[in-house]
Amino acid sequence: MTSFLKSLAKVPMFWVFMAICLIYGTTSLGMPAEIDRYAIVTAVGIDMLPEEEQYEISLLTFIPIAEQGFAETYKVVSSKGRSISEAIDFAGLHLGREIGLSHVKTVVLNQEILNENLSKILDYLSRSEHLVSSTKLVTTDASAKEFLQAAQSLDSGSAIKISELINFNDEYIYATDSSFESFFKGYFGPTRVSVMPFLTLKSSKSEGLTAVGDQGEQNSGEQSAQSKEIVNNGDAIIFKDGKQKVMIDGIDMKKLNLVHGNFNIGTIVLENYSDDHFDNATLTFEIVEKVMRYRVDYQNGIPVVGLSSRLVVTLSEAENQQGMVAKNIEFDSVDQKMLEAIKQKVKNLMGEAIVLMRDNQVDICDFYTLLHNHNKREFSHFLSLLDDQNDYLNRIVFKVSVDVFVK
Amino acid sequence: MNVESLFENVLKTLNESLDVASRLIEKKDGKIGMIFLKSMTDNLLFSKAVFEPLSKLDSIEFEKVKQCIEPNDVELVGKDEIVEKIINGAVIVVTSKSEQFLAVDLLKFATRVPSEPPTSPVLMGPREGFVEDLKTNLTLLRRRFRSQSLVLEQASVGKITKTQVVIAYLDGVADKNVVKKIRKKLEKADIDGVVDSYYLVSFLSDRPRSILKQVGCSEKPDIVAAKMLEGRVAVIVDNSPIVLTVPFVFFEDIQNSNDYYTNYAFSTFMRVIRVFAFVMAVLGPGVYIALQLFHYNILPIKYLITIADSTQQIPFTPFIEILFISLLFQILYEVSLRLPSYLGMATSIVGALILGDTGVKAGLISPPSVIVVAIAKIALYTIPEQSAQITIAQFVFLMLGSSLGLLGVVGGAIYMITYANSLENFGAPYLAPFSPFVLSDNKDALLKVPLANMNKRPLSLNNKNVYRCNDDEK
Amino acid sequence: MRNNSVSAWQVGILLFVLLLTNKILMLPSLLYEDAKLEVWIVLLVLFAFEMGLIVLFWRLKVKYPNQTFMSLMQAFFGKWVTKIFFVLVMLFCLGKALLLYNVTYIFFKSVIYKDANNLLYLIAFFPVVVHLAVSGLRVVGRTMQMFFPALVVTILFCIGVGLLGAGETPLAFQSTGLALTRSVFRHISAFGDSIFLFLIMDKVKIEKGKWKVVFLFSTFSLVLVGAICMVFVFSYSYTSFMHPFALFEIMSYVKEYGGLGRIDIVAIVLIIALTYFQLALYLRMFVLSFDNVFVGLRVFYSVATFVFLFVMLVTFVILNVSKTILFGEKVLPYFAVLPFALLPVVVLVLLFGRRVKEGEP
Repeated sequence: MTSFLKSLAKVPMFWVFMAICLIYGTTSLGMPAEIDRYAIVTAVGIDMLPEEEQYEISLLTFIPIAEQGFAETYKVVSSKGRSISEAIDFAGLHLGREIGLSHVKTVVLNQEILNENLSKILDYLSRSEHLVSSTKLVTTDASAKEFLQAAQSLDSGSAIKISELINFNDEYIYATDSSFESFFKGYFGPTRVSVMPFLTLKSSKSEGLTAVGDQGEQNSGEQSAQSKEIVNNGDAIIFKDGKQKVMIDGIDMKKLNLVHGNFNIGTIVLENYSDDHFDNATLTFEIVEKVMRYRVDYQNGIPVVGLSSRLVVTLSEAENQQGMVAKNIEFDSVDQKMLEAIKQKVKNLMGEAIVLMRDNQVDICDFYTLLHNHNKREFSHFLSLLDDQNDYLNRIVFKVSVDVFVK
Repeated sequence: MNVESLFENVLKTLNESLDVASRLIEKKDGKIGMIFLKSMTDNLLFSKAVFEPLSKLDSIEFEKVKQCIEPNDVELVGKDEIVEKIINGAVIVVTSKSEQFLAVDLLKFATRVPSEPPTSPVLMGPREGFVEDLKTNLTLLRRRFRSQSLVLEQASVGKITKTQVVIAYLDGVADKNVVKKIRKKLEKADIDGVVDSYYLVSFLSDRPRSILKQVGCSEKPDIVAAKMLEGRVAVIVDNSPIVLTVPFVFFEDIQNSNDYYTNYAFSTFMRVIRVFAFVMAVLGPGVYIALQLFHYNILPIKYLITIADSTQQIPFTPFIEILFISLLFQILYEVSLRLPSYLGMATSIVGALILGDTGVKAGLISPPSVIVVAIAKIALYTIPEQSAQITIAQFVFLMLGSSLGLLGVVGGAIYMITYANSLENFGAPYLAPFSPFVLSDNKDALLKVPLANMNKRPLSLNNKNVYRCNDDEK
Repeated sequence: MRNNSVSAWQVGILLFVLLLTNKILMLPSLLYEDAKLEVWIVLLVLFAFEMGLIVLFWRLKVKYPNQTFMSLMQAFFGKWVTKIFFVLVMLFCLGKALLLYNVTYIFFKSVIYKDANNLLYLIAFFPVVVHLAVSGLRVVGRTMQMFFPALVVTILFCIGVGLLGAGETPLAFQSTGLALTRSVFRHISAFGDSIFLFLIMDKVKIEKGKWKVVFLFSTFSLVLVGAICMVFVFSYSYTSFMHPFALFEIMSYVKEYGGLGRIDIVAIVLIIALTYFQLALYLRMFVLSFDNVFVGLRVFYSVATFVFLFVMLVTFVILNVSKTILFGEKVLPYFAVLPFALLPVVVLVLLFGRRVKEGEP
């Protein structure tokens, strides 16, 4: 036995392993799972209470229930504090657990808060290593607390999560991922412009799959906090220097998407169109493919940006005054006149988008970087000649050309 | 020579064991004596081939006696050898007129018929397995090598048992240094008895206290023959159906005899599955407990919800819970090994009910933990030869995962691989052919190429002859 | 300690790990501060320095195939200059190990081990690191050879995933020549690990024609470093100061893939494995240099010295992010004089000076 122990003494790793087991293994015998120590938060809402000079934090928290099936139960927990971190600490006290931000998918901001510099408000969350940089940011007209309460029943009662709603928004409605990262990239970038989706909260009496607050509890005297529905119209808020600059609706957003190089889907609606086959019809074309090319030139020191768009569209709906077209040739035909009409429509829409950007001095499509990288010297010279360097968009000449192909 | 007093001395030497038998034939000119062990000799053959012919002799002339029983396996032995010969199943024949001793080999004992070994079932391929009788085992091997290349060297190990051990190798293929080393190790083996081949493993291993397996073993003659063709040396031990082979590399146990009797693509696929199962078996519970205790933020929300819901009412902490389930599984395993087969069904029902159903419903254990441990325990048996090592590794990684989290698991894995890389048994690196990487050996490692393409022996084993066929191609 | 030889492949893989590990966490973010999109220029300059060292080693090894670097130095510069040189090497290795340990400590603490303390990391790292370092070069080489395919596949996976999150091109031509030079100097200490080759000179057994394997692996490693840096820059650009851990961040920006969840776990495991190897190699370098300074002492003393100094410095001197960055940018660059100024001069003298006979001095 002694010789065996002596030979074992020559294997130091064995003793190291035993020491680790004794020191840490014994403590881990009594260590609860991290799931029991942290509250799993899936959404955070931030409201400002100017009267109290406090912030109110609402946390959409998953509450585990001892069940054998897959049951998702959420609860909204709110707390107030002089700063975001203080409010979150108090929320932890209310829950009796530390707040775990690793699974936060959405941060909701009340519209009133947007008049402050958002980077200050989001500072705490941006420093958190646990919050993923692809966490979505949304704004709402209601309080963030009410929004989360509406989202709570959506998350608890159905397979559609609020985060999925916003993801869908990002991919199919407009061309920004509206995440933490994109907000700060815009804020610290040369244009200092960021975009954030705007969702409204409306009272709802309709049936079907809607986001109903408080899991359907109805109290006849207190209906205002209940039966709220999250409505997404594709609206967005444009920020400049972290503060709200302008709110645009879904239609304006679609116009911007036509100018934006990264967004390749959308629809074009041709109203009151008449030709041999259609009579005051409203035609809807779906964009199948879009290729956007930018060309930069300087004329007398003024940058000229050529926006060349190549669209492949398909006719998805024709609302003819006399009903549906009955003949194949009319159903499928797209003649030169229609093509010209589409081109003109697209040009007009792109022009309106540029006007929108100019009027509000928001360079959403980041022409600044395009011009800077094309010819830094010329562009710096151009900027130096301006009275207001933020107004460069108004001095740039845009030339729009459109090519349309119908599938 | 006084035959009776000789018999008395032999009886005394053999501690008057009840199976010692002696026969005396009285003739006119003297006596013929026969002494043997009833339990080790063929009694019928003794009567027919020895006793009857000797009874008919008219004289006790030694030469006549020898001639009479010569058709049998007869040997002249000295006085100091007669006890050993008796123990080994010989009948000693003496005459009162001569001082010489004849040993007639009539060894016979009950033995098993070669059948499919329970540890290595196959779908296709030979179903013979080694048995406890050394001669039968040698026959099984000899049938597979009908050439002069097969060399069988004898050795004896064990002060009391004096167990016969045969070192088998192919001349011109195996490295003679390996054979020499084995011989030396067997000579040095200081043990009173060898009851099974496993007793020799610690003497043959370079690091006997290591938990890693360092000597290969098999119960099937086709596997042993294939290993010998690759350049390995087989050690066959009397009274043991398990034949040892050296040098051993870890990857041998990932290979399976089925791989050589089926389509190569399927074999490759199954080897990948085995490696994956091995990794899951070793690391699965450790990683699971590490994620629960330290890294919950890595788990996706859906898994988190499942785990959170199912662990809510469990009274134990996660580590105790997993330890409890693992120990239950180990107890079930032990029970299944030792229980008579007619009770096996009852135990499996009880085990399945207690672990799978009642325990979860009672809220003592959670379903995710049961699944993780069950998968790990099942995956363990994709490589049954390494089940002991994998079981220990499971517990080691469980401790590391619960103590240090992912750092401990990754560190433990690096340590184990480093340790394995430091092992080199009989000149073969333990983790060959991956470390060091030998390209040609990889034809039969994780990948399995068709047999027609396997024209080289493994370079990792220091073979004398690298080419399997057509030496001219060298 | 077993002193076994290493083949061309094993040297290549050792170099691959050495040149990669301490450049894929904090370095890209720090480089962007000065160099902006012109990070690639800084990287090219630093890569050239590193490859230059490897070329010098190649020529020296070809000229003196069986001798140790210490014996060559002693023959030219004498015993005491050689000892001073190796003391500097010891300090260089210790400094780099400290920096690497602190960076990964900060990383793990913020990402996966919120509640753990320094003692847990020391206990987790040191036993395995010491075991790796004293196991012998051949064992370490084999272990890394075994892990190499997994490391490469994982890194390529991380880069591939990171490319999915890489967005629009940021502003270019933002940095000046002065900024680039400053950046080169500030981060030069992240390079220079090829000094390891000189310490194991006699154990390197590379046949004629196999040197290209060594160059291939080192180039591949530096290309991967460059790829990670550029993917990081294109993913984060203006917000790179908010994301100090490049390899982890380029993966965490990508959205979840179905039920897989956070795939940045892959980056975490990779960083853990690489840190173990890198620390082991630094310890080995320290031990080899210690042996050259205090000839004849047992390995135990060198390892004990390293562990003692390391634990003291980590516990009492370099504790947090700001001190770590300060140490890496203000203190360690001066140590980089060793591999990038002193060592090349020494090697050039050895190459072009008189031929040293075997067994000399």
